[in-house]
Amino acid sequence: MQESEVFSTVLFTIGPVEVTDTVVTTWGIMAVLALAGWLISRQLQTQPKKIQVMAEGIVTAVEENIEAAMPQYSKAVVPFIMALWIFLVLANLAGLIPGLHSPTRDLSLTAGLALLVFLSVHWFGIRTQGLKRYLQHYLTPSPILLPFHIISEITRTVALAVRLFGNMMSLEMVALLLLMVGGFLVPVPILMLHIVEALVQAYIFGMLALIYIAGAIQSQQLRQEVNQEQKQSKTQAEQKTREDIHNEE
Amino acid sequence: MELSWSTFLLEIINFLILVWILKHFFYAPVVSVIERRRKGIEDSLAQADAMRSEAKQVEDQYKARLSQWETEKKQAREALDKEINDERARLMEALQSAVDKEREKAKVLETRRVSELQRKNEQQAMNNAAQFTSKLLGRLASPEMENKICELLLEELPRLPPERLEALGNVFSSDETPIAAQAAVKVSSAYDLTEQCCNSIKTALSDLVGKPIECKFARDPQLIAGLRINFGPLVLRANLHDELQLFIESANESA
Repeated sequence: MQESEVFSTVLFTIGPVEVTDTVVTTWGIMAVLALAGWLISRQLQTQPKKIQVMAEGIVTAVEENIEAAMPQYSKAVVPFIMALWIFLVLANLAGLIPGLHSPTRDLSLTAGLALLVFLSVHWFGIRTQGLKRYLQHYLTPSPILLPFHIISEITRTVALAVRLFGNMMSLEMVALLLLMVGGFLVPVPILMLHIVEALVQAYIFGMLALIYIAGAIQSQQLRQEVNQEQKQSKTQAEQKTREDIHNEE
Repeated sequence: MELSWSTFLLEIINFLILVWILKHFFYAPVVSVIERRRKGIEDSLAQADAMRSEAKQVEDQYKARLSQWETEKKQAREALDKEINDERARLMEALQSAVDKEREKAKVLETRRVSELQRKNEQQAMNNAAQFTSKLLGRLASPEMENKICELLLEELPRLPPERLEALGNVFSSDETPIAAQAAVKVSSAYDLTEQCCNSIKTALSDLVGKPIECKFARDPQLIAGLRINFGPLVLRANLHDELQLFIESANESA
C-alpha cells in the first residue's frame, strides 16, 4: 500500500506553494458547483422545471434547518452553512469516483474548514452583539470559567476537523485494504457505506457549525433575557415591598 | 498524516471563494425567484382576498336589497290585502243591498201574484157561483115566479130613490124629448106577460112619471125570470139575470 493512495500528494508547486491533489479536487468541485449554479440560475423562472425544483428544494431545506436553530439571523448564516453542506457532500462523495480521492480525507482541508467555522462563530457573534458584549459571555457566569471557555472553543474546533478527517480517511483506507486483500468488487459494500457515511458526516459537520454559530448568537441573547427578567422581578419585588410598607403605615 | 500549510491556506481561500460563488450564482438567484413566486402568490392571494371581500360586499348588498324587497313586498301585500278586504266588504255590502232589494221586490211581486191569484180565484168562484145560481134559477124559473117579481116591482116602484125618480121625470118631462122616444119604453120579460100585468106596469109607470106613456112589451128568455124596462137611456132591472150580473159585478168591484 503506497502512502499516496491514502494521503494527499503534491502534484505541482507554484513558487513556495505546494498544490496537492486535494486542492485540485477542490477546484474541480468548485468548478462543477460554479457551472451548475450558473446553468441553474440561467434557467430560473416562476414556473419551475425539475432541475429548478431540486435546487429550490435544497435551498428551502437548508433555510428551514437554519431557521429552526436561529430564526432571527438565518439569512446571514444560510450562504455559509449551505456552502459547507453542499461542498462536503460532493467532497465526501468524490472518493467514489475512480481515480479520485475525497478531499476531506486530508486533515489540511478539514482543519481549514474547522478554522473557518471557528472564525465564523466569533464573526457572527461579534456582528450581532458587538465585540465587547460578545466577549463578555466568556466571563459569565464567572470569570473563573474563562480558561474552560477557551479550551472548549479550541477542542471543539479540533474535534470538528479530526472527526471528518478520521471518518473519511478510515473509509478510504478500509476500502483500499479490502481491495488489496479481497480483490476486485470486494470493497463494494464498503463503498455503499461510504455513501451513507459521506452524507452523514457532511450533515454532522454543517449542523455542528450551525449549532456553534447559533450558540454564539443566542447565548448572548439568553443572557440578556435572563438579565431583563431578573431586573423586572427585582423591580416588582421592590414595588411590592413599598406597597406593603405603605399599607402598614 | 501531516498538515500541509499551503493546502490549509489554499482550502480556506477555496472555500471562501466557493461561498461567494454559491451565494451569487446559486443562492441569491434561487431565493430571488422563490421570493418572486411568493410575492406573486401573495399578490394572487391579496387579489383573491380583495375579490372575496368585494364579493362579500356585493353579497351583503344583495342580501340587504333582498331584505328591503322582502319588506316592500310584505308592505305591498298588506296594502293589497287591506284593499282587497275593503273592496270585498264594499262589494258584499252592495251585494247584500241588491239582494235585499231583489228580495223585497220578489216579495212584493209574490204578494201581488198571490193577491192576483186570489182575486182571480174569487172572481172565478163568483162566476162559478153565478153560473151555478143561474142554472139553478133557470130550472126553478116559471111564469109564476115572474108574476111574483112583477108584483114585487110594482110594489117597489113608488119607493125608488128620489134621484132615480127625478131622473125618470126629467126624461119624460123634457121638451126636447121626442114623442117617439116617449113611446120607446121597452118592457122585456122572460115569459109572456098577462094582460093584467101589462096594464098594471103601464099604469104604474105612468103614475111614476106623471104622464101617460106607451109601453112595448117583448120577450127575452135570457132574463130567466122578471122584467127589464128601458126608459131611453135609463133601465129598470127586475129580473134574475140582471140581478146575477149585478151581483157578479159588485163582487168583482169589491175584489
